[in-house]
Amino acid sequence: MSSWRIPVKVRWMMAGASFLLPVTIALIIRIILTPPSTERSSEKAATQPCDSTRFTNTCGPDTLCLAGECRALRVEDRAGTPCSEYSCRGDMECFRGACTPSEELPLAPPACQDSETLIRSLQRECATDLLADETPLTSCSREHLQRLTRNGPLERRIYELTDTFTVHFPAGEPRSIGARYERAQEALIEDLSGRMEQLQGAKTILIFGRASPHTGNDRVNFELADRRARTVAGAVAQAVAQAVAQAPADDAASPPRIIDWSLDSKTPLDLGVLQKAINSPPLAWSNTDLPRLREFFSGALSHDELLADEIHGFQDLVKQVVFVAPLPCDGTEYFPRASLPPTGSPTGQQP
Amino acid sequence: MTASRLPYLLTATLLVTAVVVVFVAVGASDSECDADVCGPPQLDLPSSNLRYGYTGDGKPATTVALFLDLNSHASRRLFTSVTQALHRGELGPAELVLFHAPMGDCIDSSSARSCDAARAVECAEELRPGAGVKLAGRALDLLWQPADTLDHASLLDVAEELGLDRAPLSACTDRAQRPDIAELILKQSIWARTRGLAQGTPGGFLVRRDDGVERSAPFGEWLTQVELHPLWRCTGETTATTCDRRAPAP
Repeated sequence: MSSWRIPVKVRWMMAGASFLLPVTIALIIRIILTPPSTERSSEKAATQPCDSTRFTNTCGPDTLCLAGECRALRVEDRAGTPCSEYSCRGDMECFRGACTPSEELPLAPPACQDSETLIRSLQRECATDLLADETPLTSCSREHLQRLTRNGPLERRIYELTDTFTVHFPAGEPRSIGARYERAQEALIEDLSGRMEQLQGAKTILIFGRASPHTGNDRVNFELADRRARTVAGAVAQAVAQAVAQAPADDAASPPRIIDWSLDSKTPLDLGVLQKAINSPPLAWSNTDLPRLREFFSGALSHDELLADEIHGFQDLVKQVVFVAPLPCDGTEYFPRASLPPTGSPTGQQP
Repeated sequence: MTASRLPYLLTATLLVTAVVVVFVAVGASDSECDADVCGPPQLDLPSSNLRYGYTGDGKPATTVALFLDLNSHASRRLFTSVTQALHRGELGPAELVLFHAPMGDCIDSSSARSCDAARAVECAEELRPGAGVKLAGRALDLLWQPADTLDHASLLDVAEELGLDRAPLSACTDRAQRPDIAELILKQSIWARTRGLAQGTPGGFLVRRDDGVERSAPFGEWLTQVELHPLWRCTGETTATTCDRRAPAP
């Protein structure tokens, strides 16, 4: 077998090819594998890598770290824009159009927080009449409240307020407002001193007399209820003034706004509902049967236990009434939201 | 060189070619490895017993992991933002998972109320599954009460309102009796701190699972409720470079 020798030049060419060929093929493959998108390249320039498993933000201001890449957060709120319920950061809450630290918020007292729906309803109605966006309860007039509570659910909500109590009157009394009833008025003021904690701590005191339906003349009944409401409002104002005069000067607070009105409701009082709603012991004007009323409101005398022939007489005793609702707020305070929505499962969830 | 060596030379050339091609081609892929190709960095959360909002099978499409100090208004606000968004369905089928990050890690008595609340929440969950997050919400609401009324008794009161028995809950919250609960709180707290969460401040992660890929986004107390939905939407997107916080709700 004869040997065939490759010339030196060819040998060098083959050695060069054996080096260049794989590199050339590799480069071609790499070019094919590399995505050619120029759009992607520009995107790469806009996004920086970050560690999305850490809280530390390495992306800079107004930028978020999302799945390992920095993304700009477009913030369109401008300084000075009023906040909304959900737009304040950290421990701030939106209050009167400004993000306010939670510790600085004037919190509504618990008694008012429990009655927020009623307070908001009254505020809203009064604001509509006054053509204002928001108004304190103290801006409501007796005409407002008279109209709002007539034959509506708001009446019941008022006597369901935490500190509401009743003042009961004998049938037809008082026949007038004036000196004739001075002694009875003084006795009522004396009785009211036992409620001074609620009355003096109130910003608003709602007082309304309720005309008894189905007996007598509508106009006469309405006027009687109005006299009773004014009588109690006068006694409450005097009792509070006396307490303020006796208090040390440092403790002097602005006196509560007393709003009194009368209600010519056509719906009879439901004794069962009333007994359940009112937790404070009643007061009475003059010689009303107070022990029996106390027994009723304390729950010792059940409405169901009253004999059929007693119910009518008892209803007459209870329904000659004025409701007094001291509120330690005027609706301008901050009413906190519950952290967890009260009932039901979140929407969009599987059962 | 003789012709008889030519096949060896060609074989060697082909082998070198193959090795170089594989090396360079793999190198090409490696150099482009990013979130789209290799997947985003994986979040390895500590274990938690406190879950809320998702009752379906398997993992939900979205998880919001919250690290809270139950004695902080910023925590209350962040918690409220997430629960409100869940209730409004803004995050799709989603779950809230709660972790503890109390001031001082509950090692000493420097933040007794935070730690007492954290232990009570774990105990409530143990006594009645599902009650833990509810008690956490009520404990955060107690922050609206005057500071001097925030004590162990008020926590037990709200737990009782949720239908939990006072005596076993009170016994369970005793640190000496339940070192396992103290250890769980410490572990979660240390996990958060080692990942950059400042002491006593709340924070969390929004995790979305789409087509088997998990994408997460951290957030701090700066997150407001109006930003939560855009954050959720953007976490699920791979191409957008801007998160518009005014995006319409679904």
